[in-house]
Amino acid sequence: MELTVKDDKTLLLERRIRHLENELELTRREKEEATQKYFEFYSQLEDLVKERTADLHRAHIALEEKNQSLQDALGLVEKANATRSGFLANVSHELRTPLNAILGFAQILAEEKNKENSASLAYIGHIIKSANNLSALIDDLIALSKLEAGVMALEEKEVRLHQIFNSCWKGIGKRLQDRNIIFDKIIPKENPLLYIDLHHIRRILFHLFDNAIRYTENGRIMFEVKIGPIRKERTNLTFVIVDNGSGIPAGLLKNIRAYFKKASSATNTNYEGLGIGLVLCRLIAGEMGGHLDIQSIEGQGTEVSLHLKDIKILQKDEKNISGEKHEESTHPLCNSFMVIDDTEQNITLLRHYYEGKGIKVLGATSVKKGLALARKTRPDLILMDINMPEIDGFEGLKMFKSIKEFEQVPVIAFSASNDAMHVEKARQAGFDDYLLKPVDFPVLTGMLQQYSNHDTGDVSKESNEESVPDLKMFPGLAELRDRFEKHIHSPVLSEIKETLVRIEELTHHYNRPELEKWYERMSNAVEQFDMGFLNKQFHLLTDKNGK
Amino acid sequence: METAVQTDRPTERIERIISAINDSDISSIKSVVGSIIRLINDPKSTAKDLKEIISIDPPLTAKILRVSNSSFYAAQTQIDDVGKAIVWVGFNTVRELALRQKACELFDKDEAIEGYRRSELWAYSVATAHFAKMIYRREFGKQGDSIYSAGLLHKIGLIAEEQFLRKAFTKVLHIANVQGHHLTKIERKVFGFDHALLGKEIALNWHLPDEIVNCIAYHANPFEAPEEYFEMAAIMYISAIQCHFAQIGYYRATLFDDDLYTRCLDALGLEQDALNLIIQEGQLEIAEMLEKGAL
Repeated sequence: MELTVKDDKTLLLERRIRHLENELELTRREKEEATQKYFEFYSQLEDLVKERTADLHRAHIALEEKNQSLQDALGLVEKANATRSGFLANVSHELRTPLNAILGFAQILAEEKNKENSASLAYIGHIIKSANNLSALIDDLIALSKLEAGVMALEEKEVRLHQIFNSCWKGIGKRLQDRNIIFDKIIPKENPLLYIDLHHIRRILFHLFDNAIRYTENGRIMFEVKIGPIRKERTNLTFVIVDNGSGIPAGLLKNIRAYFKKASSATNTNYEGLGIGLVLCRLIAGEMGGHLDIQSIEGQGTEVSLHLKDIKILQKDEKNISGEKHEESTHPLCNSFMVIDDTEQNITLLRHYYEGKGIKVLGATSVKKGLALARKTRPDLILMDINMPEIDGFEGLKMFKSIKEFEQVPVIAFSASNDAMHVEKARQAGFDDYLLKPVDFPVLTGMLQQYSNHDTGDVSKESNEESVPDLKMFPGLAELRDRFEKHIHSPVLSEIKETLVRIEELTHHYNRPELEKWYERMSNAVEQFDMGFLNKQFHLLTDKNGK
Repeated sequence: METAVQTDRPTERIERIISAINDSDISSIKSVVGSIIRLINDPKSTAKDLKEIISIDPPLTAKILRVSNSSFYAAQTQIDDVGKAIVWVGFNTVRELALRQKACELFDKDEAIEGYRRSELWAYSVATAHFAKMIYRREFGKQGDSIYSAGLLHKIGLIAEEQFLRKAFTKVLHIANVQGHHLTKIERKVFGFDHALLGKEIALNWHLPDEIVNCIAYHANPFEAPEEYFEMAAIMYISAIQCHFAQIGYYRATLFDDDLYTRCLDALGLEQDALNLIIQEGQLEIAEMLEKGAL
């Protein structure tokens, strides 16, 4: 008989084996199922990925198309802006060129010696006056168009506070006198260096003065400048012009005030009955982040204020920017200058004006002719029209400057565009200055004075550098002798800078070109840390006075 | 929320509880748990279906990713997506994981009432499910997914009583503790029904498969189950009693009736020795899962 009874251990082992066999079989089946499921899952995923990729591709193409259409639109807008800007510049040029001739010849007629016919003289006066008005009107219209087109750029630069009024005075002084107006001004004594758009502020103030003068006769006009507290190197400026003229009727005043209060959007230009001047003032003020205020009582007078916010104050003193000081001076003019301009009338005009003053005006209607002529005649200065066919002013400048004998000859850009961008472009190209058409003779005369010494050669320059002002002539400067001596023994830059500020004040006070030039050289030396030059100057200053 | 009042008929009371469940936070568990269980029971289901169910529940997704990245599964790569979890951890495992993590939310609020705690009930439910699945697989050679789901949810009636009949439930527990009677008997007296019946009604409302509904309904008295569901119900009861023996979690939730237990073993042809082997290994697995952050 076979033994069938199993012990407990064997039984347990058998159970364990059975359990494991079951588990193994289930696991095998599950693994198969899982593999199948993974396969399905992956193929589904693959389809999904393909579908998604196609989706993304479509979206990408759509985006690219959209992007392209936006780029196209942007290109169109840019092109439209450029076209508009170019158009404005052209219109400006086209309008000014004939005006240049009218105004220039009228000025010559007025200056001619034989003035027996007083009626003719009065007519000429009217022509000049009307041409000037027309010129101003063209300026205003172009400025207005630029504001509306959003292409007016601010031309902020370093300007002294007093310079603002001085630059307006030239235009209004005589008119105040003519209309027998008593003028008062309250301007702060301090004269900080500001960073502002002088051109546009002057434009607003000029308009406001113009209005005040127009509606006041035998009366009084007062001009006041207020500087607000300085915070974080910025301040608010207010310019007030008060007159006791005829004032503004209540109905019109209401309109003007309502217009001033409107958001200063150039697109919202409903300015019926306001006159282009005020509209322009308000828009320019808005562009500079400021606004205008007006108070008026009919029959009693008007008060207009221009408020400018957050004007940057520059702490350091900089040398004065050229171009603002072309006042009458006894400084000798140059002997000859050349005008290169394709409009022959412009040449004739300048020739008539300056040849009577003993200055030879050489004319050429193209750069090529100009170069040939310059080789023969060696002019002291060249006035170069910018807009010329074939070779324009910029190319012309390059051609002149590339020839050694003309390297030092100042070349002034001569253009009908007063656009800040064009002025800047000219400066960057290397023009020494910029003269606007129609030509303002006193301004050009100032330039001829300013640049008359430029080509005097290195030797004289050297001797100039070594000269110092005679302290006997300038007692204020003599008072600084102790400081000069101190600087010789202990040259501390910050102290020398303080001295320089005093010299600058004295330069303004004496208003002498030799002092001004010397100050400029000193100022340059300080900027360039040229201690050797400064030391020499202080020695010369103290030696010259003798102990 | 106190839903039922004593004067109601038991069936009305159950209806009210179910409607309260559907108005509560549990309804979100209902939809996800229901979907996973239906997916388990559908042989045609795909990994993509599972991924979709899980992905609509961001907190669940986060939990699954956390557990999938635990040292228990020791994946060779960072699992940052349910699809990746299905590939690395396995379809069945992720399915089970999803169900467990979602069902676990039922037991979220942990507060002691008369020696009862949801966390303890959860520990007991997980162990019961695990044991049931192992017995099913090892002794009967069948995949234990449905019984595992049923194991996790077989005490859902108790959770509902605790949540929606709070005062009466506390009273039931108190009487059970003081008088030493089993819960089921007192539940019937106080509520007019017990948690197995309530659980069955909830499972029906959740449209769970019949085998799970019956397993929940007859886990405490398998011989009353329809014949086709006897095996599953009896294994559930036997598994619950293993928790009793090992004193896991709130094991008192199921009454140990020696006679019923023996009759179940005999009917299924199971030996205690064989069960001991399974339970021993099961307990080790649960301990490892706990230790390595898989639970």
